[in-house]
Amino acid sequence: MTDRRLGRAIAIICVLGIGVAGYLTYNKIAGGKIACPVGGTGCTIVQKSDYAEFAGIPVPYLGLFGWISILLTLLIPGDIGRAATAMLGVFGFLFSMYLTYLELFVIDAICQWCVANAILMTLLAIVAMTRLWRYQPPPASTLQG
Amino acid sequence: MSSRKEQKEQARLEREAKQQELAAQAQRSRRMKVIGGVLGLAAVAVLVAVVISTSGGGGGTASGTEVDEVNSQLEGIPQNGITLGEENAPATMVEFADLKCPFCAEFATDGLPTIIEDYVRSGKVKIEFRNLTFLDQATEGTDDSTNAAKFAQATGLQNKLWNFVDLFYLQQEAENTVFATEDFLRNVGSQVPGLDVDKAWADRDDPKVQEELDLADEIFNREGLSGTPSFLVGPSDGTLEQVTINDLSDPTPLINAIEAAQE
Repeated sequence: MTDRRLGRAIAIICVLGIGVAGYLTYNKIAGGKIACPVGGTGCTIVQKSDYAEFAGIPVPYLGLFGWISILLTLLIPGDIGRAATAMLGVFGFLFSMYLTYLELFVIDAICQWCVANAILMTLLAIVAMTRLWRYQPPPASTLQG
Repeated sequence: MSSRKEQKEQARLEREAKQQELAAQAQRSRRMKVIGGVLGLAAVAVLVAVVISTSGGGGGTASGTEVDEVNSQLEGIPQNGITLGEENAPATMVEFADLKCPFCAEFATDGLPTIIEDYVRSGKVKIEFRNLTFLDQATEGTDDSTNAAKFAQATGLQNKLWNFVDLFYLQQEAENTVFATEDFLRNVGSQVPGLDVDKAWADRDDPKVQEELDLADEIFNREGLSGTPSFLVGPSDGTLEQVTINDLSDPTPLINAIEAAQE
């Protein structure tokens, strides 16, 4: 897969992530009830748990901010941009793993929207790291010419 | 001559190959440093985030604005023990709930305010809060539900139960955790205007408190109800019927039953 294709894949994953986090953010703002995609009450339990906010900020807001930030790093050229995308992707992946641990072993309920977000973040981290690993900077002569 | 030329060419090729190898090595080394830096930074950032998540924030607290909103929602509405609303209201609604039940909290925050504002305040219905403690059986080794229920009933002796219950729900923590400690209950109690918290704490042992809890259990079982929140609605001088709601934020079925009980 070429660098450009990997970039496109990241953009698509980000758009999907924005969709998930955007729905949860909208629900938080509108004060509505979160519909679990395949039923159950896990989403409500997680939404009402101690961990639904991080340092006083609702987690969906942070998720939406994160996905938009990752998408914006695609606009940064060269190594720095790729490193920034990968850094945010790995951070997002590790943090979503922490949240999944909380759901499984602390809150004792699974929010399907959070699982969807965690899967997207995992995919993103893999693609972003692959993109960073494969990146070949242009030859020095091209830069000089 | 030809041989010297070949030797020079060979040397040049070797030099170039070595330079290319050095350049490739430098690039690999740089890439590894960048990847190491990325992973290291991400790991440190997550560690910081986890520390913040576990040390700060969390539930159990409410902002002053939220507390004021809950109290102002009930301001001016008569309370008598477990009952909210005018004593001679034509309709009665009974809610069976456990203070640790997250669905009851959801109903209290999303579904109940409309009923209070449009039907209780106008004197069309009165609501009784029947406190269950079944979640103590569901979560082994805790009497959190009972502790919360006893304190809530004790606030009812000062006619402040509804403020306490709604403020408790506002700050309710995860169902499978033990959080209804003395500090927590006193803290929520201190947010209820005019409540004597020390008296309420002492009144937990009042026989009337246990009588109310036993009566709630008895009615719940007699009516064949299951799960919380459960509701009975009907005319105050007639028979109350069970009403179920599928969406805790949409109290329409309860409102329909209240309207029907006016006739």
